Amino acid sequence: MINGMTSLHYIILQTTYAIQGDRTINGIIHILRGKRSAQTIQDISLFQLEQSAAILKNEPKKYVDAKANELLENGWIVENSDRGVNLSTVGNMAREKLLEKYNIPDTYHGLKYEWNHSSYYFWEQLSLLVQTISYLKDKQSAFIPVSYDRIAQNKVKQLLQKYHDIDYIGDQVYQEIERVLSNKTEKEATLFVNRLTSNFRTGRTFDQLSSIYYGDRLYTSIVFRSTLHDMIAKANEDRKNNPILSYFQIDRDGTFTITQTSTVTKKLFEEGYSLDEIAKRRNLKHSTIEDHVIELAIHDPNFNFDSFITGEQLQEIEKEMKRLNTRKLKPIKDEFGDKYTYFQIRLAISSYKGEWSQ
Amino acid sequence: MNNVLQILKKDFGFDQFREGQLEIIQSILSGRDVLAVLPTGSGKTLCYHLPAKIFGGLTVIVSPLVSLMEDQVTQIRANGDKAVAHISSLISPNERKEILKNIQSYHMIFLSPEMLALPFIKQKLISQQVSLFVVDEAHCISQWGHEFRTDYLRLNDVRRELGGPPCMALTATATPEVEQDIRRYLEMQNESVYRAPVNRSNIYMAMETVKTPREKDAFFLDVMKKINHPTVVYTGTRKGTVYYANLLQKEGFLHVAFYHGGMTKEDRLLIQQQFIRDEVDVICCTNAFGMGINKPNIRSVIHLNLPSSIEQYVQEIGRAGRDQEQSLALLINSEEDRFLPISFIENEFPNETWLDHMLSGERIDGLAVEEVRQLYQIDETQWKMLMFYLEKENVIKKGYFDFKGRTNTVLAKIKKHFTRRQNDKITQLNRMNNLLHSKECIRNNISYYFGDDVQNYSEMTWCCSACQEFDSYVQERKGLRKGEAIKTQIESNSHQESWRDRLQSMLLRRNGDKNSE
Repeated sequence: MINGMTSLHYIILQTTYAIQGDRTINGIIHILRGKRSAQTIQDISLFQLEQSAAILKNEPKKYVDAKANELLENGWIVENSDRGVNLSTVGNMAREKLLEKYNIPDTYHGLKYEWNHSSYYFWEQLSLLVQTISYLKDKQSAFIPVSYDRIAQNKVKQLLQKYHDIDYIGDQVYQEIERVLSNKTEKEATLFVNRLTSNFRTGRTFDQLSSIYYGDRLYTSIVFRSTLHDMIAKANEDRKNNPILSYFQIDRDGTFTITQTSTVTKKLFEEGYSLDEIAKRRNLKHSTIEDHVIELAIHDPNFNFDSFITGEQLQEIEKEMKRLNTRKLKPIKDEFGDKYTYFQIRLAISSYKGEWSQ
Repeated sequence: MNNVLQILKKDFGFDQFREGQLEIIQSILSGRDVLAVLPTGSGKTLCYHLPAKIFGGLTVIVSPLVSLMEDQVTQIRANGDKAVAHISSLISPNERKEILKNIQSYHMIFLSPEMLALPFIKQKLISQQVSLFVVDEAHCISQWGHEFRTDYLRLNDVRRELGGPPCMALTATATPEVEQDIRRYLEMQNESVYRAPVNRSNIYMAMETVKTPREKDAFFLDVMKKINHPTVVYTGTRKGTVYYANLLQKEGFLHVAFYHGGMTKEDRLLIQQQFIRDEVDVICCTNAFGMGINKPNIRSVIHLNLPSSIEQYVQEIGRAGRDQEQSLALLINSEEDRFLPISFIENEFPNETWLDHMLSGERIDGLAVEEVRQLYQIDETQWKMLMFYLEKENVIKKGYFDFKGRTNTVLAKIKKHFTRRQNDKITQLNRMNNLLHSKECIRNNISYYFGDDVQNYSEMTWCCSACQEFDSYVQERKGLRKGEAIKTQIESNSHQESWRDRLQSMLLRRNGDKNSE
């Protein structure tokens, strides 16, 4: 079977390996498809899956489920008694074999650039700008744009108005793109350029370009996105030399990683309401509000959760976590009995940033 | 008349009208309602765009195909008229607010029927002087049409609230039954009806039956090597699009692509553009492809599946030969094909067993909608359809089910509705099947079905496979082949060119530099 294994199989294997039996196969798929729930957000940080978070967000759920099932049916992934999943010996061997073939480039960062679609927005604006420049250089101002998005169109318009001189802006965009691509492999750079649409050639789809990467559409798109991520990172590190690339608006969905609903809870909490009062006011379950607090504890560095648990209590739970070498709630809770609530233990687990012994 | 021609020249850059346009425009300018049955790509937009300019005020266009609407607006804007916008689910609430705030600066607004139903949008429109009310895809108003939309039934109320402006109803396909429904539901007054004949004399129609799927593939490949391209191949399923594209590639066809609704929006746009710009000359696709595509030189349309109705078949083959050159429509049918559309119809509607399970008794009463969705794990389209009817029955309150003891009544109503819709669809399919199996002239049958004047088509050199053998068509037309692998150049050049060269030619070309291709 190993010959027929795609990057999608590999990604599921690799994530299963990272999670080591603590989550169900659905839990894993939620992380990879970027499901916006408190649990998923918590898991990404807990298992340090920042790179692969939302990596499969464009893959239909049915398709991902089918691939996961193949892995289960072939015995590469096995379920334990809690329905958590582990790699079998053959599964792990397969993972190791595929590690190199489907290596995810270092510059790829799912949580930063895929979770909130920022790399998508960036690409929409960049590809529209390149297309526009290329048509305008040919004195054609009417064409079917690669993006219908109003914000992307406005950004491009603003840029053209700001610089006015089409030759100048073309030179500038060229330099900014070229600088990043020249540090990439020939394959990566070619892939990137072939995606662009100009007045004499339409961009190719991932499927059409996949022949350079084993015919694997998903992997081709990951390599492409890793170049995009690199470009965004470089542009933000050095805004002075990247006036165009750093001009694009990419944080369109507001607060980074934190769900809208948790932000509302945070606001109320900081106004002095108790969790119970918040639940009543918002007509939500108490446990939902607790999920919000957990999410905030992980992703909002300014969120103060001292009122739920003291520093000493945190340390005591962390010590027990390490001793039992688990991130599972139940065994830790059993150890403490009624001393701590589930909620407190969850807070401790999710705020824990230290190393795990394997 | 002169005035109209001047505007046509000045604002649209055309010297003359296309068939039917002038007639339609003059009727609407004289204040009459108009029902026009026009094939897609025959210049429908101009029929209201031009009057909109003359009338002043606001022209409201209702269309159910959100992405098509977006295409249309983009094209109109690209051609220089910026006073046009669309309000649909594809724009953000903020953009919507912007458009509504500046509504007086637009002269055409495209809306989905759902948006038109929102009170604050309707109020905004009422505050404007609406001088023309256009209903695109008007067949959606009829239960007999292949895409009945309940929102369409409310359109005439809206029209009245807007002060009863003249109404233009447009559709590409309408049987007499559908036509009658359109006139009745839109309460058309003293209306003028324009109907372009369905008959397309430059399209030779062939229907061939083979025994097994394997034979079908072999026949298809053989035909593909002999006919003219560009070609659209309808495969019926998403999987089929990929399968046939691969099959063709293995046989040495270089410029083949597939297209289906499951692809990302960006990929779909790219493939469309590649096809329109002759960079790809065969497209294997589901019926998601074709709406709003305006490509004059499509030489062949091939169906490897059975279209779900005669309307759909006619609409799809009508994409061939818009440039009036001789073109081919070929349907290859194997015995097993008739089951696929049936199972499509069955899967389109929520299954009775779980409808019973879900709705009988008080099982879901008081539960959150989201919770029930998780519980039943229903296909998304079916879920949306079901929610639509449940909302209409007023049993959802703030995200919770609240039946007030009416579960059984609601269940019975919904089941009855779905059964009826399902039966309608099966009737449509059977009519298509009859067309396929009839030994008589296909053109004749189609004209008869749509209520056109049936002419004597026997004089035509190339009519259909009932009148002239498909084989002889292929043999005789073979010598006239052209345009194959249209831009082979592009791919071969691109292999030699480095990424730097290519990026430079996009961004660094100076005025006066020659294109690299």
